[in-house]
Amino acid sequence: MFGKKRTSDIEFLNAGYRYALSLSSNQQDSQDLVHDAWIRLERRYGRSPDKPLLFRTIRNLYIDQYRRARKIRFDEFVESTMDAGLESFEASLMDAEVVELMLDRLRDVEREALYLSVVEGYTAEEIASMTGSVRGTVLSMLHRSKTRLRRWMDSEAEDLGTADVVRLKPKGSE
Amino acid sequence: MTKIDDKLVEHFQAQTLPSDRIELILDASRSARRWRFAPAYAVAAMLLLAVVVLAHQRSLVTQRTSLALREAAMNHVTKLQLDVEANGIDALQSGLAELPFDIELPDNPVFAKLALLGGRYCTISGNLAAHLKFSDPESQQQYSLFVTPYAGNLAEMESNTVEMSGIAVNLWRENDIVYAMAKAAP
Repeated sequence: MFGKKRTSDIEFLNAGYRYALSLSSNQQDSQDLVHDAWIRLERRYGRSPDKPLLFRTIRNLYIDQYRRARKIRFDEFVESTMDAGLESFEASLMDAEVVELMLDRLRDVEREALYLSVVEGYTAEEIASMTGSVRGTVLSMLHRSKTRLRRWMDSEAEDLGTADVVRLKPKGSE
Repeated sequence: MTKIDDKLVEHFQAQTLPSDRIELILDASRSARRWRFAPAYAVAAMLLLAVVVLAHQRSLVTQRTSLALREAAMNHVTKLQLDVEANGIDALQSGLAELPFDIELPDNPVFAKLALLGGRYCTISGNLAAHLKFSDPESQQQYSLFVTPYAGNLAEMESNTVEMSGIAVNLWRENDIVYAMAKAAP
């Protein structure tokens, strides 16, 4: 019983950490975010939190602590140019560093939507509800984020090559 | 799922909290859970303490009042010699010149028909008081009236009427004076 709970807690903690990473794109900040959120919920409810509550608390903490302190832009997504040649990227080889580097170039709202959709499997409507947005905006953001990811990765793969990309350490990975 | 989705899933799934950080969070979480009700416990303890203190104070008041009533009853029955014989308040006040306060009769109309016999110095709960003796011309019943300023520990007493050893004693306050009247119980 206790072991099951511990396993489930660790799963939630890791999910919370990944979500925090999708917001802050910084490992240390993300560890602090999930830590603070978890303790805050334990103190308030006296039990391990469920995932939606944990995500919501992490998001609120992120907005409170990081957006204000660093003046991170968390405003409305503005459409960027659409790229062609998506298929070329689909076929390209990506390693973890490339993905991380490219994610880092996305804005926090874009990374968050991608994470919630692709990794957590939430629908656009659910994401809209979680982030205080509307379904159409989320769908549009997801589409454009993927488009930009594909474009960037395609470009990086061509220009830099894997060795160069590996040298570019993502934030907080030291 | 597209390949980019696969890569994103693969990338995020590879991200996990360091095990020492997990232990740190779970330890802190257990501690947070343990202390969750600490503010409520503190408030409950404060309330309990307040109740105990109030109950204790109440008990002291009751105890002091009871002692003052008993003292008045004892003074009444011992029939000690009067220090001053007087049939009026002014004469009594002059006779008991050491009193640091003016003797005033209470509003109780019963005193209008009683005859003042005189008075003596006494104490009620350690406070200097005047012990006035009256007699009812009709029944010849003796009355004792104790007069003392409303101050010191007398300020913490409460109005009360008791009967003890055949004596009826009434303690009350009017303005800044505490009165106690003792007479034989009916």
